[in-house]
Amino acid sequence: MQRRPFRDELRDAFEAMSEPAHPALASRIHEEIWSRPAPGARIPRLAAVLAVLVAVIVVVGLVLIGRHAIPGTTVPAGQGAPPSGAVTAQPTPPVGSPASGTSPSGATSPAPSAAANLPGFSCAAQSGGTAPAAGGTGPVPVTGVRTGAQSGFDRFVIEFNGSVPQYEVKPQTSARFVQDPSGLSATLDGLAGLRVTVHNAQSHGSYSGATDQRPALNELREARQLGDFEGVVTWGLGLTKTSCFRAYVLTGPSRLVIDVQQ
Amino acid sequence: MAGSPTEPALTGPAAFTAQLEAALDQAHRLATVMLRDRSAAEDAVQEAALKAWRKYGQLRGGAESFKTWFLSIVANECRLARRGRWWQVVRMPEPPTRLDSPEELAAAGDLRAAISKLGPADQVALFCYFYLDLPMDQVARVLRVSPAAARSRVYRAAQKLRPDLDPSEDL
Repeated sequence: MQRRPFRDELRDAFEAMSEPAHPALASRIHEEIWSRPAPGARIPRLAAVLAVLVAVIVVVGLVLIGRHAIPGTTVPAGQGAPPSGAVTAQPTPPVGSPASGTSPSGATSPAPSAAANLPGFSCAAQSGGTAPAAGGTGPVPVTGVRTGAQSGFDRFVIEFNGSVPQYEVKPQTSARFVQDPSGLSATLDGLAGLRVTVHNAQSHGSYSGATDQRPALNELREARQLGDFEGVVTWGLGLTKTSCFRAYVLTGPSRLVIDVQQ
Repeated sequence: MAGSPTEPALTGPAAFTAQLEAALDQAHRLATVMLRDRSAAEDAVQEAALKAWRKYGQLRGGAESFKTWFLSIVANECRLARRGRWWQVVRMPEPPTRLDSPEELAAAGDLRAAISKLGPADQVALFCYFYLDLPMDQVARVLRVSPAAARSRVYRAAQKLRPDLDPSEDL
């Protein structure tokens, strides 16, 4: 009944509310459009996106290749070398502890010190390192301990101020370790473990970093110092599962490297 | 100024600007109704025109379909602009009104205030149907809904302005 008036009312209201376009608006839009590429020419933007993608892929690829090729250089040293005049008043001969695989004479490690040809992975206990010099210079100070993920393996590194002393790495089927002087057990994160024993080394006084690290990597879940007593430094590595590994020595700086295969 | 929009052979920017010019005035009026601000409306129309130009290749059909297509882009742009203006509302609150719902405003006889309180889709529906006199299927295209949904949208929006509206009336 009141459709007609309502319709007109609405029309009037809209007429009053709305404003016609200013002529300048049309020319502004024209200018804007003519200065732009035709709608068909969306290829340049697509090309730009593709170019960025390719660049990202190349960069990522190079980074990955770089990491793979130079495994020794990826983890930067956490600390500089500490004063070398570390405590020397320690009882010297720690060699009497169970099982050093190498002869106690002057045998150098079977592990190569060049990064180029690394030893293969093995699942058995491994050992190496330099036996203490005849004169007895005291334990070699540990200056850094760190972990890192590499492509294909997780890495655990102990850095020394001096050549890497005799070490042994023993796999075990649990992450439960016995701590060195106390005999108390310590259970690390993970279901398997590696026990790293370094003879004629000491950590206190030279290493101030974390003695319990939980990098939570694929394989390496936790690294904890189990002992630093009478010239024997022991670390336990908690692993996700029983894995093969390789232990070897790198120089410059002098360090013991343990790679746990993924 | 440019050729009439019935020219089918035009292509590229010339065709686009010709069709745009034919729809520009209505689009601008829609934007001013929705935004209640001239410069905001101009910005919205300009932005919509650029978006339309970018998507012009996807448009099928003649001048009528350009108009509804462009109006729907403008309406969308205005909706975005309204959503983006909340901070302005916070900074410069509108003069307080006692009457808030469209129904109350309409009852008070303030139809314009009631319209500006409506939601964007309601405004578009009423504007296209009552002011532009678009047939319902074109209103539907502007709203990007089915004709049936457009019809009920128009009816319900009208009812908000005139609660005693008879549903049997010609909508």
